[in-house]
Amino acid sequence: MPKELACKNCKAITIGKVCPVCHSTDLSSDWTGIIIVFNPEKSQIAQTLEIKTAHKYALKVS
Amino acid sequence: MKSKKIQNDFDDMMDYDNKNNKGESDLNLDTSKNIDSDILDNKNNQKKYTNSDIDTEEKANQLRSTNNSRSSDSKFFAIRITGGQENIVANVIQNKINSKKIDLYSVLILEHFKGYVIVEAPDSNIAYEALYGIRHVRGQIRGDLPFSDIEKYLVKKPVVTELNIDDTVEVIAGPFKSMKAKITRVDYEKQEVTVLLLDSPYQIPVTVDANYLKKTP
Ligand SMILES: [Zn+2]
Repeated sequence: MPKELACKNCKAITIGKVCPVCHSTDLSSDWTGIIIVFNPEKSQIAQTLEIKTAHKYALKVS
Repeated sequence: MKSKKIQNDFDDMMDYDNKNNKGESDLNLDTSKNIDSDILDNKNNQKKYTNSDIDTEEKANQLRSTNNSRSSDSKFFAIRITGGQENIVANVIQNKINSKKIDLYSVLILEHFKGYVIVEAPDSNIAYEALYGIRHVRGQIRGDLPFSDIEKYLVKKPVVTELNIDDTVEVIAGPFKSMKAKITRVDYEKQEVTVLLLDSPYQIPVTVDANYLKKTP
């Protein structure tokens, strides 16, 4: 499986070089926890984490 | 060992079946404290109302309204999966949700819950649908978790925990915004940090909210 990196800015996980959510290139391989949001309007977790875009995110990125 | 586990799950399921046949449970009674009554692995469970069921539903509605501090209709179900396969299971669920129309809200993998995946859905049927047939998913959906059990793992770690004396930081808010500073004291309890402003001709120590600071490399 290709290496998944997490965006240091919005925590979105990607296998690319640019964050697909916020377009930052500041990505890290050091992340833990996963939240995959399918429905940001209905998900209480997404609301708590202020996630607006359906995507796979890390919970912690360093 | 493994087969014993599976056997236990199977026994749980059978246990549930027995209860269900007596009409004592309804998988939508989300606020029920009886975990067994929320086990989902049962398709016979589709609404055969008797008078006693209606009573139970009324009770559940009452429970719901007293328990309804949250605005969303999310429920959270933790399902046991093979340890170490968390990311793979999450990805498989993601592909499945994206290709089928399943109204799952989110999937959560917490470091603190090794061997579990938590799904957020409006009800257990949807959680079941999302997980059905997925490899590495073991055991069945049990009662839902209160959001408060999950919320504590979502709270962002306060910035202060990452700050140390002598760190160089940038002030990102407040009256000294966009100035560079060096930390001279950290009060982890109050989440206050004393810094020397590096851009100022006089390096006067100022104490600011830890959340106003961002570590610079
Ligand atoms: Zn990003």
